[in-house]
Amino acid sequence: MPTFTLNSKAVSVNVDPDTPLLWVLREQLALRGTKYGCGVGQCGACTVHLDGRPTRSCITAVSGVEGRAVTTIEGLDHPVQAAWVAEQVPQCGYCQSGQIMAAAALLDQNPQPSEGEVAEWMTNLCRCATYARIKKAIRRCSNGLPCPADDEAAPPWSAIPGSTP
Amino acid sequence: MINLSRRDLLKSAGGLLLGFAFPTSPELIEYNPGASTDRGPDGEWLGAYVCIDPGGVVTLRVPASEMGQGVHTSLPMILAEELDLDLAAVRVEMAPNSTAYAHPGDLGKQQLTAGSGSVRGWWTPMAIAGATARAMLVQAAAQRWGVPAVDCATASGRVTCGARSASYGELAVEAAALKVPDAAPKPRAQWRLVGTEPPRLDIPAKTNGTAVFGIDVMVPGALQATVLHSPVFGAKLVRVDDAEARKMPGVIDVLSFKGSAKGHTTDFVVVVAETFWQARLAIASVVATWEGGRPDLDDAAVSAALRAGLEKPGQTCKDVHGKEPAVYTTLSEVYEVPYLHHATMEPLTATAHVHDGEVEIWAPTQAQGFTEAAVSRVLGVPRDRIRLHTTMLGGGLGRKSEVDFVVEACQVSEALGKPVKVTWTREEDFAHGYYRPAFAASLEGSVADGKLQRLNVRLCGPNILTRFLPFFLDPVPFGFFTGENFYDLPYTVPNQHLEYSRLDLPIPTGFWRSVSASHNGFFRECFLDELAQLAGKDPVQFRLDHLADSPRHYAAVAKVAEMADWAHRDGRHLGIAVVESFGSIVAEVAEVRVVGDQLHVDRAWVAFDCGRCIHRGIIRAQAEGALGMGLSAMFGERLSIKGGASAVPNFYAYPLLKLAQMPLVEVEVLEGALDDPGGVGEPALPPIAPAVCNAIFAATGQRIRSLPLPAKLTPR
Repeated sequence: MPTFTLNSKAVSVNVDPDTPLLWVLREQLALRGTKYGCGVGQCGACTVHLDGRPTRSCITAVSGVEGRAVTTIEGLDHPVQAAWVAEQVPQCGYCQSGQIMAAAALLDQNPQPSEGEVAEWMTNLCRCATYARIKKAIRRCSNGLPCPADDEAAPPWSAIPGSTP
Repeated sequence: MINLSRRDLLKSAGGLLLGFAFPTSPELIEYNPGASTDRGPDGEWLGAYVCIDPGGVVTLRVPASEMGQGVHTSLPMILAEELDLDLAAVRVEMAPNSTAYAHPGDLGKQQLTAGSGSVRGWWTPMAIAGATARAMLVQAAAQRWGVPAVDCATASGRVTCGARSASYGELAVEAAALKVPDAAPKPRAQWRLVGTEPPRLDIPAKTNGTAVFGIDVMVPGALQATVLHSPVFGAKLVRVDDAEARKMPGVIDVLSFKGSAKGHTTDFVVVVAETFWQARLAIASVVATWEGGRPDLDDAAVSAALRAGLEKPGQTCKDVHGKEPAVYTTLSEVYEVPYLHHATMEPLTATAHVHDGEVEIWAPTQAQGFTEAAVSRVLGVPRDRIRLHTTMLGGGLGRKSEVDFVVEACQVSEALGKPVKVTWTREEDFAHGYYRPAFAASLEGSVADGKLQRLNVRLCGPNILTRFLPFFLDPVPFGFFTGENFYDLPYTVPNQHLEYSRLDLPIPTGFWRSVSASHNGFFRECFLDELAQLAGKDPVQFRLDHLADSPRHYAAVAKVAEMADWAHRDGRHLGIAVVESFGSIVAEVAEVRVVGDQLHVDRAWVAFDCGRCIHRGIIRAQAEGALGMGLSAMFGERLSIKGGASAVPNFYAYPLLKLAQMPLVEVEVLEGALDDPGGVGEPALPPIAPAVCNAIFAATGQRIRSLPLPAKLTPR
């Protein structure tokens, strides 16, 4: 019976240990903000944090998270979510849980990512192509600025120290 | 995703189609549903869209599906404008299936979200409905206070007269008892909400995981299922060996269904289990034998068939003869594009509960009317016994205007007598689409004295509407999903000849965001650049020189050229295109760099004339997104065919645009010559591929005449 920490609480689930974490979250634990998109780790709609690192839960067996910390969108409280609202990022919204989890993990480990670093990190697919706004939302949270920076336009990458556009 | 206006119908087919609205489904002809049994919130209804509960909470019902296009904000804005409500204070609810929520425009008089038509269709009826509800509330207050209604004012959900004031909630019961008056919408000078950019109402739920999509529906006691269809298009199910699958953990049943003779579904096998994951594991153990189809079909065969079709005369749609110059130069080229898949991020899914002659459905559908009709036919259940709850859609793009995935869920639930959610794997989603058809065009143009003299076009490809024959006209009138952007050519060309050569292949096709403009815009605008070169003219100037009779196009081209500073290119490689669709005109300029043999699209400018603007922010977002989807298709999308089947198992064989490939996009929303709104969700898609390809020519001298782009460009 795999046991792990989910959104800061201990859980154990009675499930085949080979079951992907995604389906354990959605079907056993009723946390459905994490989405199924491809099942092969390509699209990123299923992204969660595993010990703080973004992880594709559709290809992560629940046995592999034994004793580790899982954070899903339901347990996330990160300034980048407000930036997502400020930039009016989502359209259909289906991929956005995964996008936000990926962006939050990036900013947690690299508070001032360059445009190139953002482009390299953010590999999640968005069929609505909200990418320009995702970049802007991440930029709002960069540079140590309060987030969101109200209604003001986010600073250009060139204003971010160490930025290499 | 349906590009059809009444004007188009009349123009294309003369009187033939009078009284015959949108011809998408046989059910349309017998469309006559009962009222919805879903009454919605308790409160006083002032018309079909507005309900005020005793606590004063105002619910606005939206008949259109929210699939990312922002319609659950833009339509409520129209009501809130007329009702003088604060948008942030209203409750928005998706309407149930009902004739009360049929699209009032040219979408078949049924509930359907398609053709960039929601704001266009509901704009006037909703404005009138809001104004009527407001008039009733004012009248109720006037009667209560014994004052003339004209002395009453409304603001922020209250009626006031001098020092007296009452909330809509306090007046609702009296208002609802009044005779429904005739009320006119506000004069535009009094608008305070329409034309502004309030935050979208659906966005907070989409940033914290609480938005409920079709795949998130959990009906108590529901079983989980997944389906398997024939890999080869059109093949029939012969045998199923499900012995192994039945032994798998959690498996409850394995069922086979023969495709409905009524044409709504193909043969399929379904595994029903306690969880989706169990069903998904078990379906891999099902050994199904299929027979038929066209295993000889592959990409080369499709391309050969398209090219052969271009060699044969087609159905003539347009033949215009004007002045012929004595001397001219001529250019002929062939263009081609592949099948494309919608690849909505949410795979197909629907939950159904069929019991005791009642059908209840929860689904991310664009097509409540078609779905209800199809379920009624396949299950033999009267339409007034079907309740359909539309969830948020994790993308629609036209795929979720089809009924197959919902009908199948109903068939499975009926067989089991239990609620069941059927969710397709991504692999099934790719294998059984209704794809944007592959298309080809042979174009011949002549120029003299720097002007276009002649344009001969022959198009070849499948017609989406043939799926609906013989319920519709045969031959399908030219122009429906085939000839757009050519039969209504905005450029002044004295001699024009246009033919369509229909290609029938057993590969399902459907309505993909922007439909035929996605290919014809590419053909036309790339070839126009070639003709500009032949004429020795600048691509922008050449377009402007031929747009004297199309002032909206002219303005959009002039605007986008100004935005991109086209006149001062100074070594930047720019390309332009302008394409009209769904009542809107969009001109786009792309700036590219070719580094080695690789393309970088750095910037794009969009001049978007969609007539009257409801919410500029949503319009800009839709322009960015549609442009991105057009770029995605241009860069790498091809629904490859092999052995008569889709050769695409998953995203690794169908690359979508990534963040790193997204250019900086600048959108200018033009207040057009139109007083009414034009389409918003689709029209910014078609111009980007030709704009980029024309920019590639500027950078390298290489003409791109087929999509997607080659893996390597040929640098100069």
